[in-house]
Amino acid sequence: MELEELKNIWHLQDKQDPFTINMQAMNNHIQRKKEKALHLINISELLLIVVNFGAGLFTILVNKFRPPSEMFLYVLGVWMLGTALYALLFRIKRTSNANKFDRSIRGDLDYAVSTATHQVKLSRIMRWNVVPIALLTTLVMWDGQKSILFVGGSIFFFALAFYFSGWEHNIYLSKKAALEKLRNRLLQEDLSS
Amino acid sequence: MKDSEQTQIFEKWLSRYKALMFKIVRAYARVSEDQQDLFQEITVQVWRSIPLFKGESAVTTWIYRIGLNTAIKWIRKERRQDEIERATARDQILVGNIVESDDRLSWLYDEIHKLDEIDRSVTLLMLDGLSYKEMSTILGITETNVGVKINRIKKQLIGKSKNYDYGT
Repeated sequence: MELEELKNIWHLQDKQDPFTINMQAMNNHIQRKKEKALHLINISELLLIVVNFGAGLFTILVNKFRPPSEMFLYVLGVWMLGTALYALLFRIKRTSNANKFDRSIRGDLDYAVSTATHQVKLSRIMRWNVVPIALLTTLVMWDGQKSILFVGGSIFFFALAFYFSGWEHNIYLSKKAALEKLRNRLLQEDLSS
Repeated sequence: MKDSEQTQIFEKWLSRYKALMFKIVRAYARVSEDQQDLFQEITVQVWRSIPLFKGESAVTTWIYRIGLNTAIKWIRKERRQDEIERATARDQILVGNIVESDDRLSWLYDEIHKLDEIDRSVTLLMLDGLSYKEMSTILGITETNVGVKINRIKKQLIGKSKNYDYGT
């Protein structure tokens, strides 16, 4: 078959409808989707901001109103507030970049790669953020003369968090690599031509 | 834009361009459940895109852009559906089964399914007779790149059709 014949075969379906659309079901679906605008990345970012802000503020207030106040607890609280602020600025930067991409397939892939890069960066930063938080928490407990077992348990908990966040980070990395591969495939022949 | 106005445009586009959407759905999803899912996703994205449409390109080009982008994204997600979407899928937006009037069309879809997601888009646009310029706008790549891709896919399809001609 030549291309023209293939095109003729292709256009056979223009004259027939393979499906009928149930308009009622479709309108219901669109209504439901309208109400569900938040994506996963939005939720995880917002959680990160709210949890760090809440925990930081709580730590500072508790330390202030329940003497004797401890210096390391203040540092920990301020560190958490700083983390929330950083995540907020990161989010503002990401959302302000969203309109820079056109609606072509390449534009969409560029946007997906940019979002994946953002996820990778954020997950790496948050993974390493466990280290100062663990250190400060240990110092707070040390200062409060907690038992070795208690201190050891919390260090173990932070080590687990560090390990699993590395696992999560690798998922984002491989997702980003897959997107980059797809984009390269789209551009490939451009480079060779 | 008012909701009623958006819905009116959407219904007009749907009745006029549903064949185009069906082609994308069939090129990217094989089984009925997946076709339902992808069709839902495409219609929602087309509906959402209406306020952004400024008339700078033809409606066909616009719907192709939205439809193909959605299909490529849908394949990437590997159908990660949440419970709401599963429930919606049971609503059966698409009714009816495909009865092919020509076996060669089934063969053509089978061949399209063997291509990767990017080449499927190029093939659809090529078979629908879009110009290099339109394809370049939809794909976001240069016309030269479009030409190179088309030549490769054309050769591949014509070569495989020879096997079909001989019934192998």
